[in-house]
Amino acid sequence: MNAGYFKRFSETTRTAIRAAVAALLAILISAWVTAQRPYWTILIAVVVINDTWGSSLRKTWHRVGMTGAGCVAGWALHFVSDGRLALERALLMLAIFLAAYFRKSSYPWMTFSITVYVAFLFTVLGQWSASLMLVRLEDTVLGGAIAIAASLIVPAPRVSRRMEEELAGFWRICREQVEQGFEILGAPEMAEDDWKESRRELLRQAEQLQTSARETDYETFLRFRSIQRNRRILRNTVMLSPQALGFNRVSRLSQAAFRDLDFLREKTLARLDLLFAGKLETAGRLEKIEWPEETGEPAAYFGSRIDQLLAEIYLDL
Amino acid sequence: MSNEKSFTVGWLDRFRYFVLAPDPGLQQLKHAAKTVVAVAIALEAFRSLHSQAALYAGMSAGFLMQSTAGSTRRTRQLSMAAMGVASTIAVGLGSELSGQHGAKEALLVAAAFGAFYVRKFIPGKAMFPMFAFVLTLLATVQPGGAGGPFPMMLAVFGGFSSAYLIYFYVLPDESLRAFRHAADLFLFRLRHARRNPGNGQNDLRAMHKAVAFEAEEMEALGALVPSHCAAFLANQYEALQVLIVLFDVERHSAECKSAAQEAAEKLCRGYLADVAKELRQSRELIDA
Repeated sequence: MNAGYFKRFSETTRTAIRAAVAALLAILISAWVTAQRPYWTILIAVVVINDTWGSSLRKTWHRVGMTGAGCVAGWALHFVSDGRLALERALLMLAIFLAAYFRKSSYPWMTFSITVYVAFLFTVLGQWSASLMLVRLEDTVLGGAIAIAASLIVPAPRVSRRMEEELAGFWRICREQVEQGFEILGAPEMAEDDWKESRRELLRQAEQLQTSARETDYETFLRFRSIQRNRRILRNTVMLSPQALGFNRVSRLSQAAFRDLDFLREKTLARLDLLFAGKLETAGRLEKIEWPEETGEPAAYFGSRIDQLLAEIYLDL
Repeated sequence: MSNEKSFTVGWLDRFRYFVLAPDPGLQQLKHAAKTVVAVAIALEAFRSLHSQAALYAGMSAGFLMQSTAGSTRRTRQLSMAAMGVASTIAVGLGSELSGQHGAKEALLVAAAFGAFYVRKFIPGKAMFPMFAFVLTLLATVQPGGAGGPFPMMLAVFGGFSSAYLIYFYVLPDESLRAFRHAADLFLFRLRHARRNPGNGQNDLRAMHKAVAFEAEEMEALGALVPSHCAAFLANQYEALQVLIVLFDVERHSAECKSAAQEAAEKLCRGYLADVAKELRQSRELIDA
């Protein structure tokens, strides 16, 4: 069975198969290494599985790092509260409170709180020992490694590929806005008021892009330049959208007709089209498009800024 | 923007809009407190029965408090009830099969698969079915002794009952209140951003979060959304976009401004003032 075999399944089914493989591997490995608490290894191997390679790596890293921090905090708090049952119970409840509080907003802090909670649960049950936290950390590291192995056996899709599609969708909306802006500049009576929906869609997509970018960083964590380059592309792309929307909006307010409007339109749209090709075809296309900024027309400023951002994105592509 | 009157923030506003900003309407805080109460009730109710049963009751109450999906009350009730029943059965199976090698492992692999597969049918592909897997795993390790699986199952169901009652009947979510709080946060940050452009990126980030949160709450309100909320939200997107452009113009106009740039800046500033005024008016209408 090769990696391509799993492509026939939907993303959710593939993730479920990956989780089952992780559980099976964890059961076998923890029996082989005669782990002290095998269920921790199995638990971690399954819970850090996610839909994409980047998100699985990110979750594993957060889980391992914050479990380590939680173990240190749990040990220190146990040292302070040792023998005072009321305080131990209060700390247990506080850890539950914090885990529930951070569940939606921060996975690392939730993991930290859960580790502290586990420490106090064992304290209240009278099973605490200093080595317990070490066992917890070892099992978490082992579970994380098993989850990564399962993500290699049943390959998880790369976020970077999904991000490329999201970028293409984003650029397409920007292109539509700019094209409409040019149409309005040519014939202001054609103006239609559908920009509010586009604005909302663009901001929503910008948010999605930023989430994907954070996960992509984990996929390329050994390639620092690649991370920097992706961040620049994202920054310039996100900045492109309000400029495209702005161009569309101010086109309606333009007082004077632009000379060479067809030339500006052709050049700008050709440049936007090149984004979909993903590479610069000819160096000549990078020449600056001269917008008549001396006219004092805001549309000229927006057009010029769009051109500048596109040039920066090309350099990174 | 820098020539406008400077904007000083009092300690009360600072607390309201900077410290409490990540949690509009204090929804998360309330939810966390309710989780602790549900866990405490479940622990107390089963303490006399069996110490391990009490542990399961507490854990299931804590887990099930997080096991809701969807924007309406009904879908949340359904998702928690389904999870409660699934967890009860899973713990029973785990406890029953705990001594049988082969069957126990097969159950864990199937539970891991199932926990991820059912996400297909859950709005937003939420991860909470994972809690049923965790309870199954623990039941295979701590099966519960001579009483068999039934005390464990009863404890999980007890935890579910506690979670259900506390989640839906004690201080239930107030979407409109949370919406209002996020709206106020947005207006405050907008005022702050217009008068203190140096902190612009932080303000933009907070405003963006507030808008995303409001959109979510509007979905939760469904047909109950006051008509002014939609208009308010649309104007917020407008303000955000203009503000982004304005910050960009300012950043790129340090040396010399072209006539078009000056005109764009002036236009954006005037437009932003108009949008801010509209926002304030529709905020009053939401209250009314």
